[in-house]
Amino acid sequence: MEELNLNLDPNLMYGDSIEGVRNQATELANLIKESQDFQELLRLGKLINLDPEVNRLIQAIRIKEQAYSDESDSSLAELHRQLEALPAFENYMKAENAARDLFKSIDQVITEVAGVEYASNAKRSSCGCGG
Amino acid sequence: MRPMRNVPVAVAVVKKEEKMKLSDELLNAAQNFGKILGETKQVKDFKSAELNTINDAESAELENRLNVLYTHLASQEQAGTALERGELDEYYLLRRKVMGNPLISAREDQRQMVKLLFADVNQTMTAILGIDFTILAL
Repeated sequence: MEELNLNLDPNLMYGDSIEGVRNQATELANLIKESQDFQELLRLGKLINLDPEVNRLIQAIRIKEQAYSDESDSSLAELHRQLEALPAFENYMKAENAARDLFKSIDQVITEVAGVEYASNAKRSSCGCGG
Repeated sequence: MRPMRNVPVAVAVVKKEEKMKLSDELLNAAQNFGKILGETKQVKDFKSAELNTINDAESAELENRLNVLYTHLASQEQAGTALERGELDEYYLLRRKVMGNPLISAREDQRQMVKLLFADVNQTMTAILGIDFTILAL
């Protein structure tokens, strides 16, 4: 006899309603993806990935962070300052902030209508404590 | 100190932040998504369980006491003040009582069901967007 695994089959776990919810999620995600703010974030994200100076500074920050122990060492802050001063990175951060505003507003609408906070409950726990 | 998981943070609150103006299409899609989520058994059961705790004087009082004590301890910790053993013991004792309360426990069980559903559905959005919706939304 076939064994049912409720944890692996969301339709059994949640009932038929999951398909309707997924359809609405798909529609919403497609609209977000088409939005100007999100497209700009993707465009600028690709640009900074190709920017050698941005990549050099990010790499230097990563190395510094791994080895960082002396709180009086200001070189990490200086690297951050240099990175943030680069026009390509500055533009990317502006686009990210605009995308954040968009996502937060969407989350607010979902939350208000559903009556339960969406993003904070949808966020996967990283602690492995089941939360 | 870790945030308490028994504080009813999952219930929607009226946010005071200024909302960005969404296009009609996005607004409708977000509303439709919120509506269908609100109609799921998981959300309905959670809201019902939440209401039970609010309407039960003992549960409400227990949670209120825990929240007050937690806020007090957290502010002390933030100020760099050493936490007193007695207050910490009181906090853990109270937390055990809160988690052992059948109505609160039932609500937390329902909250987990909401989280499972939302996390599952969020994967659909993540697959389309290429990034986790919650990372930018929170």
